Amino acid sequence: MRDRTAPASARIPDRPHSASPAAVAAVDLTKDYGCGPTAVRAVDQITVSFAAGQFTAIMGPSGSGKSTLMHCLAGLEAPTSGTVWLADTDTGELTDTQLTLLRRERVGFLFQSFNLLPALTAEQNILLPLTLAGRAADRGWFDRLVSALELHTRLAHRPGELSGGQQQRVAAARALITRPAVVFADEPTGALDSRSGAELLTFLRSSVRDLAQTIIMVTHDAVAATYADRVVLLADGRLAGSIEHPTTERVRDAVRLDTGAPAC
Amino acid sequence: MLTTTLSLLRAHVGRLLAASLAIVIGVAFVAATIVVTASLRSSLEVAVAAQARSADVVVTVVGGEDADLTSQLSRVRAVDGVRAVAPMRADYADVDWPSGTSLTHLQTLPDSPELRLPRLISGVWPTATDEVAIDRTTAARSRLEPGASVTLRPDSGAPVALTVVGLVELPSTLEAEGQPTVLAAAGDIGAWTGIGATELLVLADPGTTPEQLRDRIAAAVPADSPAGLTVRTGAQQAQQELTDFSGGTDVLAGVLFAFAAIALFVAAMVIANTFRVMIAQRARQLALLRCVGATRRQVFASVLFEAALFGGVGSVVGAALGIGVGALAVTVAAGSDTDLPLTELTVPLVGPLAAVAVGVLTTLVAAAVPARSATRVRPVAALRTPAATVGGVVGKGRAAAGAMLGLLGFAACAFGASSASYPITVLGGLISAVGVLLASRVLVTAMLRVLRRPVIAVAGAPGRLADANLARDPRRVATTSTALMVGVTLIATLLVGMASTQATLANQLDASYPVDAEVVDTAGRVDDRLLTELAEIPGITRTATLSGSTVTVAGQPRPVLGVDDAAVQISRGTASDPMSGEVIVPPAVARNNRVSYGDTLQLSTPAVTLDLRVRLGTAEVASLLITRADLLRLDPAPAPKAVWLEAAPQADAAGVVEDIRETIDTVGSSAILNGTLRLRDAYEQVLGVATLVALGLLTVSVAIAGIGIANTLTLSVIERTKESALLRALGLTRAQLRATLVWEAVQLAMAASLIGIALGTGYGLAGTYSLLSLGPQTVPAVPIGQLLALVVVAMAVAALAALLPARRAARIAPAAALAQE
Repeated sequence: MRDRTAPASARIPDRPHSASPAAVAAVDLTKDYGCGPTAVRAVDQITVSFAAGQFTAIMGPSGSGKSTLMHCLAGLEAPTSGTVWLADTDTGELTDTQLTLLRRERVGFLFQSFNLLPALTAEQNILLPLTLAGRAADRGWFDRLVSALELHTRLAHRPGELSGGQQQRVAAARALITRPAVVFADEPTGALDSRSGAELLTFLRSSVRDLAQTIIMVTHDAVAATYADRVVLLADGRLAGSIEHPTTERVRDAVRLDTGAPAC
Repeated sequence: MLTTTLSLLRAHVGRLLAASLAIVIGVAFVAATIVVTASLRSSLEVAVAAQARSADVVVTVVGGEDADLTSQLSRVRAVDGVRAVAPMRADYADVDWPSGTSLTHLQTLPDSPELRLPRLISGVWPTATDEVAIDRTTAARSRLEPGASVTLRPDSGAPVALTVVGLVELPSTLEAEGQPTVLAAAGDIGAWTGIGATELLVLADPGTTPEQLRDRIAAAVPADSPAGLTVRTGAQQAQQELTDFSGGTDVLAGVLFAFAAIALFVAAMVIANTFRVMIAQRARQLALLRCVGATRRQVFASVLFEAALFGGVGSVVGAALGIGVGALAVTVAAGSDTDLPLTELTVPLVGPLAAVAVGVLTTLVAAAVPARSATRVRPVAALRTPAATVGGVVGKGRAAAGAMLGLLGFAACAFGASSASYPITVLGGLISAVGVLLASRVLVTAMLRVLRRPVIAVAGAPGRLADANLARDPRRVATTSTALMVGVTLIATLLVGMASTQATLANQLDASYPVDAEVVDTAGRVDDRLLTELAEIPGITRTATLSGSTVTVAGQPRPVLGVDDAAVQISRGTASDPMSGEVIVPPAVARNNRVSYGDTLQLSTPAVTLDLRVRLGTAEVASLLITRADLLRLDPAPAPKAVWLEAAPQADAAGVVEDIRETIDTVGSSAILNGTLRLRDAYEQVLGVATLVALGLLTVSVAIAGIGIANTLTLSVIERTKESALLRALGLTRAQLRATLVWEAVQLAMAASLIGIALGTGYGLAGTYSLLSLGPQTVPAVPIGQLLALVVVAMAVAALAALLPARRAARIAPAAALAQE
């Protein structure tokens, strides 16, 4: 895989508030589905960047394009137009294999459900990206993650033998095992009870603080959003504002204002 | 990636096992075929060169008018180390058998017992002059026992009275098909026909090796010896004969392997379909893997590795099974009393390896396309719940191409049939088959639509559901049904071809031979009891008794029958209808007496002599035929000698023939059966065996197709869990859910097999017309009953295949509809 570092002139301007460079950025990003009269513009010319070492939440009502934005940022979807920078690489320039390798080495994923391969044990699931790369695990890092997520007793179990919260924790460990440049989380607490959800979010937050990870989380839960450093608001495929150091009230108000309807 | 693949594989072992049955059966077929053809080849090798191998040295000369090694006989006998020399003569001559005069094979019976290949069954070996042994089949046909006498009529020279002293079983290659064989001393044969000895079999003294003897004999033979004289050891001669032996084994091997290839092809389709559905099922897992960083190549390799592994295991099991079955078949055949040349069991070392390799290769090829589609699963699919598959629009391009190829192929078939060109017909068949396969989606969907009303009328709600399920994924439906369609088409082709061939054959025989059955007793008389019993046989419509006598023709006694009006009514055409002053002469007798159409033949009794005009008759009527009036002039009190029987047109030849023979035996008569029914029975037996074998082989393909259906249904049951649970929650009973699945399978089978029998009828007829090359004399016959039975069997196979998946579906709890992923 050939790393392409962006020339200085094309560098995304850093956000004024953080001194760290952008881990992920989008420039004039547009994504359409379908064609002709039935085409839907899910994301409409969004320019946004996400600082490294930060926990960012993307929020918006259903149909706001937040999931689509995340898919494009993560390289899972090709944008109709615009550019996506991921770990200093223009994803539009990459072949499918290069993109796959990028995902393997530099990106972690956490979904709402179905994160794990049911046939593998917890340990095998955590190590999956490394297995695919044919690399041995950094045992120190592995042990650290496992103890932070309190999974040491569940490593030999298959997902069918784990609770929902445990499964998500295993998925979180997998997301971090490669020390990725960015972790994308799509409604990670959506299927969890409030306690497991809180535990997961606390871990994510601490991984940002203590392990210097970058996390971008799509959510519709205002409480979950408060764990983030910043909330980016989307409406009708466009940026609708952002909130630094969010609190539950501010988030709820912002969402309600945008749509004029109760937050989902 | 390897460990991941293995773990994934372990989880899916159950599902793959069902599909692996297909490869097990296919590979077993290949392995069994290898064993059987290898055994066949070695058995024939043993039989073909058996005579040569029985001797230590063989002296041969190129055949021809002057070929005769008799001049070398004394020289060879004088060579040091020679224990015995047997000159071998072989020729053909007419012999008067009770069943009629016919060309007979004359073969040498060597003096030395170790050179004698035939096996004596009853009586003794011939010792005196003009004593002979005959083959068992001829003896049974003419009802001859040791002690009987027959007359040999050589081309030149006086007739000879032969005394049958023994009955033998001929080794399978010595038996000339359908031709009587007489074994006699070499000297006798030479005396009868004047043929020379083309071979000298030499046995060595103990202490002399074959090689030594060969060299000595070669040295003893002078330079002026007959052209092409060669001296070889028995083993060398056997080798030479093997090389010359063109081997019908290749043809048989070709046919068997063709069937094995069909079985493998069907297995490949089943495997491809299974993998396709499995991958569709695993879409989310594959997407997750791609998300987390598996490259497309890794996914491809993973699927292929899975295929190779389960293909390998299945192939090994199949090879073991096939070799076992093949060995069993050969052992049973070798031990049985039939004439099959299967005596040596040979399992070639390379056989199992080849079978396994073929199996693994087939699996890999079959899994390749699904594996490629696995790589096209998009990573983002991991984030979404996949909708239950709703098939895409039927590819217009594919269907159009298929239609074009199909029409082209059918036209070629028709052309080949009308111009009696078999290769063109086969080519046309292949092209149209490809076309049909391409257009299978459209065809099957159309046929299902046709079947919709009747099925719903019979099946009710489950039928409606089944129909809807089938309608929504034409691609999967087509692929599942293709395997069954192939099997049914092939069987239908075979059935229609065989029926048409048999009908044509019967027609040809009827045209060539005028009498359905003739029961004749030239030595004694046909008594009334026999007549009444024969008339009562089911299938016999009319009978007529013919009186006859024995007259002298050219100094030889010949049987003659008087044909009256009743007999004329029963016979067909004029071949057995003499006019006044005419005598109808069997071909062999005409040849013997050197008369042909228009010549005069003199028939005499002690009292009267008649000059009659000759007309050539047919074989299968052994006596001379004259009018009854003419007979009375020769013999005023003729005894009943023959009964002519007419059979109903649809009568079963085998059944009637057996009844007639049984009646003859019961009455205790020594009469003999001639006529078309006997011939038809003989031909139909051979055809029947061939048909049964082919049918059995093709049934394997249908079985594999059934496994494919079971597979697809199982996987679709799993896929439709939520749907089925919802239906149960809304009020569909367990029985109705089971019925839905069974109806899905049955409908599929009905559609596939109806298309199959339509295609098979066309191919079968085209094949018959082009292969028999008889033009308008070909009788097309479509065995509707058999074809409908085939459809029913296909439906039954499908219903059976659906049983297990149906039970599984019925176990789904309604609450599963509400459960989250």
